[in-house]
Amino acid sequence: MTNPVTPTPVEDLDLYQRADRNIRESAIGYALLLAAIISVFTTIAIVYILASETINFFGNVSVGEFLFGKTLENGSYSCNWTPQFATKEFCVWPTVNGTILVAVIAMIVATPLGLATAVYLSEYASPRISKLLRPAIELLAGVPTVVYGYFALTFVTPLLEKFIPGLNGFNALSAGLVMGVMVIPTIGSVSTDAMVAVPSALREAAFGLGSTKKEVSLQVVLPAALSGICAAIILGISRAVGETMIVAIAAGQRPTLTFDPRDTVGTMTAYIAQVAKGDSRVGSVEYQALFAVGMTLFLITLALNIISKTISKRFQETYD
Amino acid sequence: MTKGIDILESSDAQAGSSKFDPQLDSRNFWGKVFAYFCVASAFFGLAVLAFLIFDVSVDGASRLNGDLFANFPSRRPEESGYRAAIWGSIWMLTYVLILVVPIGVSSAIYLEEYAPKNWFTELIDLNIYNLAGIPSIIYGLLGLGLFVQGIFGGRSVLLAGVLTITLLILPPVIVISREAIRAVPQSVRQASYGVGATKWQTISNHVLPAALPGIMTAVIISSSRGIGETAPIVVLGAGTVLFDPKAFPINFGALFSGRFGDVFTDTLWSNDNFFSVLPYQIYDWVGNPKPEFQTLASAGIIVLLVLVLGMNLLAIFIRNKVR
Repeated sequence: MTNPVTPTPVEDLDLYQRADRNIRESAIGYALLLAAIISVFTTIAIVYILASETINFFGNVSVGEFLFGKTLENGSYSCNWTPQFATKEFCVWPTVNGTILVAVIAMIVATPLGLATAVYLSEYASPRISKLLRPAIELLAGVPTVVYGYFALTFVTPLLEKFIPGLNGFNALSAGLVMGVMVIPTIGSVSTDAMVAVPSALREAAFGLGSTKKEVSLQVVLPAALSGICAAIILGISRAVGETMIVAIAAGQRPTLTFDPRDTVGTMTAYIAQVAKGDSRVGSVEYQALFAVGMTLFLITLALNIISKTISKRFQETYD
Repeated sequence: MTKGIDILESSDAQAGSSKFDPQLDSRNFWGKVFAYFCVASAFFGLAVLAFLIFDVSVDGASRLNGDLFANFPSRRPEESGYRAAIWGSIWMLTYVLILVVPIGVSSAIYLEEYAPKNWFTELIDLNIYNLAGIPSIIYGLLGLGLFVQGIFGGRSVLLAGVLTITLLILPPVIVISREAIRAVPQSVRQASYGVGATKWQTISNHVLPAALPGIMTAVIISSSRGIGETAPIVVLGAGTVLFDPKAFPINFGALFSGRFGDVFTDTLWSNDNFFSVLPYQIYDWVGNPKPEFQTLASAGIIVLLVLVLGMNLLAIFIRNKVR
């Protein structure tokens, strides 16, 4: 009580200044809101641009041909994707087929490796190693994909050619394998978070019953984190489906209805990159076809992302 | 106490005729195999990355010299270099940062500190999450339709690339910055309000400084992705460029010599300001059948990797330094 604080006399408060301050405060709030709304406009712009060109596209090409192919004049059924050829055909399945084939190969590589990485980081590694290793693994997702494409084309394909006869110079296999490596950190990182969130009481109970570490990891932690793991895998599929440069460089640019991993394929993304790199006149059907394929890709990845988010939210086990 | 062990060691259990057989040897064996598999998996990706760097270095080292940075692309691989592409990447990064930092941080502040809990906030929230998952090539189509065709009359200029990459990396910047802002303890805010600070004073003087390392990490990691992106730039219609990009918003030469009519000619805004970026030029040369161009591509990859991995290491360093 030696130094009493004397309260400020009320007359000293400048009420005008306070009003100024209030106006400034709310103006800042609205300015920040404006910035946040840019993201909403981005979505609107994406949907608008994809949809408007896709509608133009379907003015020239029937939805039926796009989705199911067409019957040629000689009566045979045909499903090809050749918008830049003399005889144009617009059946989207060969490009979707290529995307699925490469994504399946990538997921065969990335799912076990990504999950095992997550088990190691959350169950086996000491906190110090885990803290060092996680960002290092995430570097893999930071490598520009054009670099992976170069690696697939100039190293992995020549290596595979020594073991696999009949391998094409551009093939789905080498692109898929390298893409798998690219997807490991996506699956690993999201599943590690899910596994770390499993309460240790569950682990301790299992250890108390005499389980080994492997049994605890696979039979207790993995099922408990299943929703997060499924979300991670679907997110990984979405990454693989949307990846462009690896497939454009190493998998080729010829959409074919094939499930032979040694073949040249053409994915949706590779098609967009290939045609956009050449000059396609605005308003031509080739130009519109870019956006139709883009719309298909957009809807597929959007659906995957929504499924992933829903799974991780709805089926999340909560322990309290 | 020892009753349980007695049961385990009883001859019945060892003979396997009892209902309970712990099979310890086989379980421990498979446990070990599994552990090794997990360790190997965790290091597999890193081994691939290390080998990739080694492979690219061996391929490209012979071209890693001054000419690589000083020369424009040419038909002859031995005279070609990345000059236009490197300047294109540098200026693109600069302008992307100028746009993405204020917009991204403002959005993050709004969503964490200001946004009321209602359907609209939830919409923005969900929207940003979905934007972050859209493939980069779709952003290329957005840039092609909205910027190149819509604003710049069909010309793939530097600004179109800047705007496209800004929109591309905005969602991750917002998401990671929000986490950094959320991690600032509530007590910091309460203390600031307690001494009479306004909301904005609290945020700008206390919350943002505390969240700064996290925000920097967000910006650095996201923009390193941005400059490594090839697909959207390809879709925009960038091509091989034989001149340095015009990077300044004002033509200083014209300004200082008094030709005020020419202040905006040959500037960032010019409609012939075509550009190339490092990953695009690499892609262009990877596809060239001449093996010398492949060597050139791998030399470019070394430069790109040094840039991108360097930025990532910087971000990791900042994050660890603060924790």
